[in-house]
Amino acid sequence: MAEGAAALPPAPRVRFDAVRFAWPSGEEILSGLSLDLAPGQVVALVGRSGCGKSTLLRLAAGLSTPTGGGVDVGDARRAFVFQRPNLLPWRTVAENVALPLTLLGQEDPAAVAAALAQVGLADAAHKLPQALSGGMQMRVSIARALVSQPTLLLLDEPFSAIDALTRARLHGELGQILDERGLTTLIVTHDLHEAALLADRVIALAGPPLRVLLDVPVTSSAPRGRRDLYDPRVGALVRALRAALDVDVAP
Amino acid sequence: MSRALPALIGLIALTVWAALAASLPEVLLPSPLEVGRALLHNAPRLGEAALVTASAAGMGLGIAAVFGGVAGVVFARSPALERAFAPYTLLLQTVPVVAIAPLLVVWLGYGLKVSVCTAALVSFFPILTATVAGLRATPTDQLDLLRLYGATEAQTLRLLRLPSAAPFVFAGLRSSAGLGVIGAIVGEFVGSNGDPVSLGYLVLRSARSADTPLTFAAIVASTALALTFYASLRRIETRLIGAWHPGAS
Repeated sequence: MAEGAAALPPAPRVRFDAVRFAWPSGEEILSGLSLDLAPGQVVALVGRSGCGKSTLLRLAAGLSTPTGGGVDVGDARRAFVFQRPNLLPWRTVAENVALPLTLLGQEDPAAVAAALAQVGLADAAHKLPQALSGGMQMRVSIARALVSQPTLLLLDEPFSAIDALTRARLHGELGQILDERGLTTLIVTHDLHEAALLADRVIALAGPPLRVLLDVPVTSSAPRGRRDLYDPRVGALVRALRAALDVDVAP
Repeated sequence: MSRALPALIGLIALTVWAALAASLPEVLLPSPLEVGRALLHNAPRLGEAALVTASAAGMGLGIAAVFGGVAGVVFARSPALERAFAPYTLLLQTVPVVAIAPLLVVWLGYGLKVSVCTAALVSFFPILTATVAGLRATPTDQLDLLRLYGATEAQTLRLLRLPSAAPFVFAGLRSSAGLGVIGAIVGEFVGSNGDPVSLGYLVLRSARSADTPLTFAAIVASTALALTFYASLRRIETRLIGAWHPGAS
């Protein structure tokens, strides 16, 4: 996998340029939002449910089409981790991980094995997803996202349905993967600590229509996913985000 | 208790049946014992007839599965086509098969072909509707996943929609299993000349000759055949999708 990674195109810059998006009902979710993500930057989007942050992620993934403005992800190879593991129950773990390669016509059992090993599930390759715990299924979902050597990783509340202990472990694993691969990454999360643990930059959002309340860098030299939540800088960041989000709902 | 209750109900029903039979002439209602005797006495004949009916029902079910499945795929992909054909599929379902059977005899002549057709006609609709429902029930997140990697329509159908619809299709097939046997027997009532002897023919002929115990025995054999079809499909379903679909295991 490391050899394959060396030949990869660089992580892309992602630009949302005055993006507009409305549902067919006319409800406007985005009304001219602009954002710029540097190559290799890990950006967490936080905000209340329904504010439109998942829509932003779907626009970046190409799963939704803007009704105005533009989304430029260059020649990024995109991967998406959904809120639920979203595994196909009739395919084994290895077959699920291999799905993107199958669709791209690039069957590569070695890459599948390497992706599974990276998330610590090499022994589960021949099991069906329902034989795994929720946390393990989410790790399979992450392996599936990584197997196609993406340059842009999009995660939509990936750990929201997982217990706290498993979540902490997955933060460590994902943080390490993000550090190793240098992918441009967008994570949608409700968990402010998760944002502080994993991201280089956190954007607090409100809406609809979606607007930026706060856009702050995360300053920590600790490895991603293993940052000290009692670090005063992390604490200050979480307090600032909380304040921004609370201020938004105050009368 | 959950096992004892159905057995108890069956026992009560048999007792009521025996009591009623004791007070009525055999030609109107034979006792359970007489029906059992007729079953034993005519076992080879009933077995051969059941095989004939099973062939007709099996072929009809197979034809319905192929045409219902293909039409289901087409309709699920094209709501406009589904709307265009909706009145005719509904017509096919609502016209009594017993009314169509004589026409089939005119068109196809006496023999197995009529009962295969009637079995296919009654089995078609449940398979069609189940296939359409199953294909349309594909989770949107899974469809998004395949779209993300640029899956073609054919890949989406093969890798996602069809496997995802399999539990629905099997439910439709199971509903059609019993209907297929009924359809075949209705076809045999009208379109069988006794060569070969089928269950439908046996029911009709024994009733006409007032051999009521044999009529009952043929009805029991028909029910057993429908249950065998149902159980066989359930077994195939368990084998094919039971590992990942809890309802099929």
